Amino acid sequence: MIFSTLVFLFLFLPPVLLASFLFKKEAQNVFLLLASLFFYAWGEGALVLVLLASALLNHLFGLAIHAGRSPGRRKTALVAALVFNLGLLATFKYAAFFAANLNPLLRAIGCPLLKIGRWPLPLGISFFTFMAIAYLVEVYNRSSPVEKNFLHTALFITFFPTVLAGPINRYSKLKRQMTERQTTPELLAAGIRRFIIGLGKKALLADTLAKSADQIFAIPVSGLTAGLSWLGVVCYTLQIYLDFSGYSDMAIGLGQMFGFQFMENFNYPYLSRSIKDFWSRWHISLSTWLRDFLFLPLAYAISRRIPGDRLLGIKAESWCYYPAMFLTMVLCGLWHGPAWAFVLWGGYHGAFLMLERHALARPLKRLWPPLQHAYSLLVVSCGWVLFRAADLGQAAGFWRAMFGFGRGRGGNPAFYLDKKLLFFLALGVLAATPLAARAGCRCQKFIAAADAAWRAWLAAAFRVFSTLALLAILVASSMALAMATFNPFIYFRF
Amino acid sequence: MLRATNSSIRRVWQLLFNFKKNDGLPLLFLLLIFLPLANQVFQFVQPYPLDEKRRLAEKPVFDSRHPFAYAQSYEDYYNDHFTFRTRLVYWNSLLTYKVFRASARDNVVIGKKDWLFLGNVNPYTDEIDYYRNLRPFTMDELQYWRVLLEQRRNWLKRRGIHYIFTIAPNKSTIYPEFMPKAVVKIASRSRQDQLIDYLKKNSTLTVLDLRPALLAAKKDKLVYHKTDSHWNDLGGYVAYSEIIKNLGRYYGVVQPRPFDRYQITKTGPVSGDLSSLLSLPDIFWENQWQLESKTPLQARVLPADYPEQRNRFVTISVHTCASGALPAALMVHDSFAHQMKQFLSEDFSKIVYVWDWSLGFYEKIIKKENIKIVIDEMVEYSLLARFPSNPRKLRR
Repeated sequence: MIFSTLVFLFLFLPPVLLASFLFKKEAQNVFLLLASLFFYAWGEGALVLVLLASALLNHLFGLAIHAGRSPGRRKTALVAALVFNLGLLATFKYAAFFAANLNPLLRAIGCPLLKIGRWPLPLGISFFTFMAIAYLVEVYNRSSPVEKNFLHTALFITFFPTVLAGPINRYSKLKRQMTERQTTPELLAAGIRRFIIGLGKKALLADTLAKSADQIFAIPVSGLTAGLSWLGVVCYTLQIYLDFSGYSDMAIGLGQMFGFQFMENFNYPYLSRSIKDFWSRWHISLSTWLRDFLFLPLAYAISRRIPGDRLLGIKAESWCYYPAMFLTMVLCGLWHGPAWAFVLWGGYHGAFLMLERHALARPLKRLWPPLQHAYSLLVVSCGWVLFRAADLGQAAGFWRAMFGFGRGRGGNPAFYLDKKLLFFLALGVLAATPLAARAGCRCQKFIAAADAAWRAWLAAAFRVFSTLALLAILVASSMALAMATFNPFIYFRF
Repeated sequence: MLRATNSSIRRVWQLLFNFKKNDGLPLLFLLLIFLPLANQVFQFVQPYPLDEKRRLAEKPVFDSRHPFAYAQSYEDYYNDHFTFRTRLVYWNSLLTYKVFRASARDNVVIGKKDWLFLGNVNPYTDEIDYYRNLRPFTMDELQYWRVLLEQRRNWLKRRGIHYIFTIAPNKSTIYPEFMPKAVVKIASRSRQDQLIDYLKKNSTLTVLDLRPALLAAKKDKLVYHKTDSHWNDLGGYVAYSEIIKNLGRYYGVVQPRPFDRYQITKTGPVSGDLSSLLSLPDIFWENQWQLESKTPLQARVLPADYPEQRNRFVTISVHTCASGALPAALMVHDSFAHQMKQFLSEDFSKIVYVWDWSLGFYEKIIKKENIKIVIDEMVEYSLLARFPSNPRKLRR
């Protein structure tokens, strides 16, 4: 089940939300676990058993790591846990990709080919597996206490707001919330506000921009002009942010409705001034996970093998940073999907991160800040072409067209850029920047500074206006969701 | 137990009714998201009538042997029967039109003066891409069409049967002045232009081109509907006249029935297929011109039973007319032929209509009904993606 569907919004959420208020903490946990399993089984069917197995085994691995009497045993338990989790990911997500890439090699050396059937992919496996790994490594590092109550571990891994698309929470931050959280009227309202904003971002903005992006990306590259390709890239750049950050907003909002405080996932990434800055603002729960559980251990492992401060005249620090960073970003790309385009996308970002540390470090610092923003936005947008294109040929064709080397006749951007798209692009830009939030703060400051006689009236008017605006977004989003189910035919027979 | 219930209710009350702290948002949110469930039970708001021209999903029956299959089926059912669905769809379309003067759906384009045009319905139906001449025919494709049509013509000719291939022009071909300003042509020649030119140079076969007659007729009267993708009765009459004029060259006795034999009447407000696709039949409507014969029609519809009819994509009807001067004919057509039928049926002793978008070849009907004239008709935008095929017998 996806949040932005009629079934979730009007069939699943109302009874679950209302019923959860009736229960006290532990009973509410049991109820939320059952609701989460139902939520997952609704969309994924029998694959809910994979999710349950992951929760159960990771709970047991956590206990085993904690109970290990010697460092060796603890390490053995951790390695077994990592093998299980990465094996799960490799089996369901990457097996076919690896086989398809290994088979030509095996054929060349005369070995029998790998025959792997199409495994169904349990939705969200990358997210819940990474959450489980973070929990186990934190238990191993003793930075998180072990969870002895299976109900809590299971709820952490299967909880419906986060199971499909994160944020990739850390159990160390949620453990206390399992027993001590409190749903207050303020937190409930904040959660609903966040959920509606996220729904609006997804259903109203991202889905509308997606239509235009899809239309332009469907044009054969030979038909592209510079204007068209840029319009397609701008639409997709906004779409992917609004889609993902909208989903995260909905997840965080749902968490708040049930009293949980999840980690933030986005911090206006398109306002970044460098790619390094971008990765501290984009999919924060993933980038911090990669930093803590991949980059730092890799860099540390390399540093231990370098004697002294320098090797071959290069600083030891550089020997650690560059390979660790590049490998982390390549794996980050692979995490997004089993395709070379994603691997390249990761490598592309890794290359810019390395450049920014070395060759681009000084020129970038000296650059006028708006140009720093422009540089970052340009690199990120060009990277999204790799992410969106069907294959490398299309990506190359798009880049060619973007930089004026396309000789297409796909038409004028005005054909796609009508009033409606312009409006949604403007709203998309507004949603990708803190302008609206700042305007809200300004309003509140203005009200606070107003004459005492007016202050209460203005504050009430502001609250009524913002509540009505949110409800309008909810109704408009429902209209968009209903529209997606409307599928009329010209003739009845077809 | 009672105490626990009381404390739960108090908790819910505090969460929802503490307006000072929550601005009333949780209560309003819950009311809104509970509304469809409540309406499903109490039915206080009736659905807005929208005809989707498809069978909506039926409520699934839970089968304990396949419990997980139920979820998807139920979601399909819920999506089709969600209580406020049609109202929300209508509001969405209306708001998009009123605010942006734009269509909420890709398959309809709103042109100048609120003329509606077909947009991207499916790969076979994309009048906008066709209008823009975005994808010209390749030489291979032109050759494919030549071979296909020549094989039909030759096979029929050997059996003494006359063959006509005609193309119903797109609405945007006859009324380009109402296309939206942003929809501009990428190239000047359409696929129909290409096909006609190619056949002129490389074949003795000709396409019956209806465009000149329709372009001339539109100066006097509207020949296409404003809110529908098809031509109207007048357009149908013009196309009929062109077909009969063409046949007149071979069957000298026949002339199109004169226009003054028909009475032109203006019907009340009617909304076309494009208004329904847009879900705004009350906004986009028009008074339509209808042609009615001043004298009683002679043609009668006979019951038709052909195995082909069991295919849900093919509809067959047989019309006979004792006073018809022309021999038995077969017309394989798409939806554009409907406006021609009342005229055509009067001129043939028998005419079999086969509504088949894929423009199949019906040898059995030709033999059984002793057909002497075969007319293939298809709409212009079908040239974009439809490539009919001939039975193996014809390809030899």
